[in-house]
Amino acid sequence: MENILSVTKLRKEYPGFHLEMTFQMPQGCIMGLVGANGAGKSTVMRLLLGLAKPDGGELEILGCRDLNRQPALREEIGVVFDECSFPESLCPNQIASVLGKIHPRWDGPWFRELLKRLDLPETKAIKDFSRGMKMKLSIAAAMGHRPRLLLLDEPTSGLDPIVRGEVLDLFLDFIQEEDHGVLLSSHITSDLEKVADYITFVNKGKTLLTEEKDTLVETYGILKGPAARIGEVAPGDAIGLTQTGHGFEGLVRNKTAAAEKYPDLIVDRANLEEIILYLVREGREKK
Amino acid sequence: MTGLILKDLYTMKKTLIYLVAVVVLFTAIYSSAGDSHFSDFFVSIMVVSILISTMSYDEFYHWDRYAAILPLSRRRIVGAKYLTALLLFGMGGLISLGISVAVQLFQGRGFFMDDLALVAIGPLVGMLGAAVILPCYYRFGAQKSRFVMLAFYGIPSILLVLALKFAPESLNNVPEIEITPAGIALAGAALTAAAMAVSFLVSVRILERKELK
Repeated sequence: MENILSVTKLRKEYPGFHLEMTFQMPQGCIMGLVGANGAGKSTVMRLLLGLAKPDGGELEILGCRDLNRQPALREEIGVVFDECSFPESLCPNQIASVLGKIHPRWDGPWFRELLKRLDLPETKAIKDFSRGMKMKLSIAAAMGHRPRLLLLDEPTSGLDPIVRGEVLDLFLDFIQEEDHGVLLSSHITSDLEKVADYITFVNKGKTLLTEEKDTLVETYGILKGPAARIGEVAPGDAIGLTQTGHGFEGLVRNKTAAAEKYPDLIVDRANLEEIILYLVREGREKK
Repeated sequence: MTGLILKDLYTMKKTLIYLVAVVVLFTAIYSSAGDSHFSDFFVSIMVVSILISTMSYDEFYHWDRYAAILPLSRRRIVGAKYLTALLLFGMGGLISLGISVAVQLFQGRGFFMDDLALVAIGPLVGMLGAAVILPCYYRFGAQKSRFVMLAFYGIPSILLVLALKFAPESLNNVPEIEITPAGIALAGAALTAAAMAVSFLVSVRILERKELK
């Protein structure tokens, strides 16, 4: 499958922060970019969009290495930042007029349909919108010109579960076209578990893993047992092995192999949040 | 590019209405005292304030970052802001012209070429200020460019007042040059055009190199 996004050893230095990331995103999928606050998710987004200049490495977005050299290609991209960028005195209809004069492919009826679907008024000033409504408006504006690729920086943070569900459904509909793609940065792992096909986990500026979500949740597992048997687990077999109130537990990269090797211990399914927590813990222990 | 200009006009719609109301009010007060050209400079200063307000809004809402992800080059983004400035000064100039003509005719003095030149000088001084302020905005942000505006208009005014107060003879020694208001307006137009062109190129260069957060 052709990659809609490709990042290879992409490097950016800031005082006290070093980013170096590698991941590929095939078209026709949603990739979740997950990591704690300050991990580097927004920096990657800015590098991809040409808002910041990389210090090294390579990136390719829709086959282009530098969007600043091909600004017209931005017509293929819809972007949502973590905050609404529209002046609050404007209403959705005025935003449609503004963006309609900028995007050659702006689809007014489609934008109005999105507003209707997201239950947003057309003529109310943004200053009267809730945070959730502002985010929904940003999403509708990002999709109004029918882009191929959506780059979304924390689009669901601060939204209630109902609104989050509506927004995630919209992304799932968007991805039905096989040449589309969504890069969705978030630290809400339950959202990513629901919609993402791929997960790229970034921690302190580094790609800790990039993998198909189904592979992750099918292969990783949580090894558990009574505290007295913690010594039976060979070093390196479990990540972040810790004692809990009831016994011990740690993450295993291959739950089938772990179940065969430790038949008397329990190997549970690991969810995305657990996988990430253990990987972060492993990173800290290595330090 | 028209979309970006439209955004600024929508954002400042209420302020523009307020501006017209304030200008009409103050002009009525001053013209009753015999000053028919009060609005020329007053409108220009108000227009510069509006321009800086659009920059403050852009900064507050991270609009420049948003504009940079739209299918527009940074040159066009800067170009839109300069065109907005020209449009605002054009509108301000027309308002000044309308008011000056009305006041002059109301006072039974007629409206002559020199009056037209005096009306033009206001927007030209304003645009000269904008030529200084706009690159400062792209480089340092809206807050600092507000101080630049105050310095641009304030320092010459303060120097003039000080000269009048402490060394009025120094102003008497300034050699007299035969120059008409029309001559000043033409020279001002040439200077302003050159300043705006240089300013635009500097702003483009600043924004093209800038990392937007």
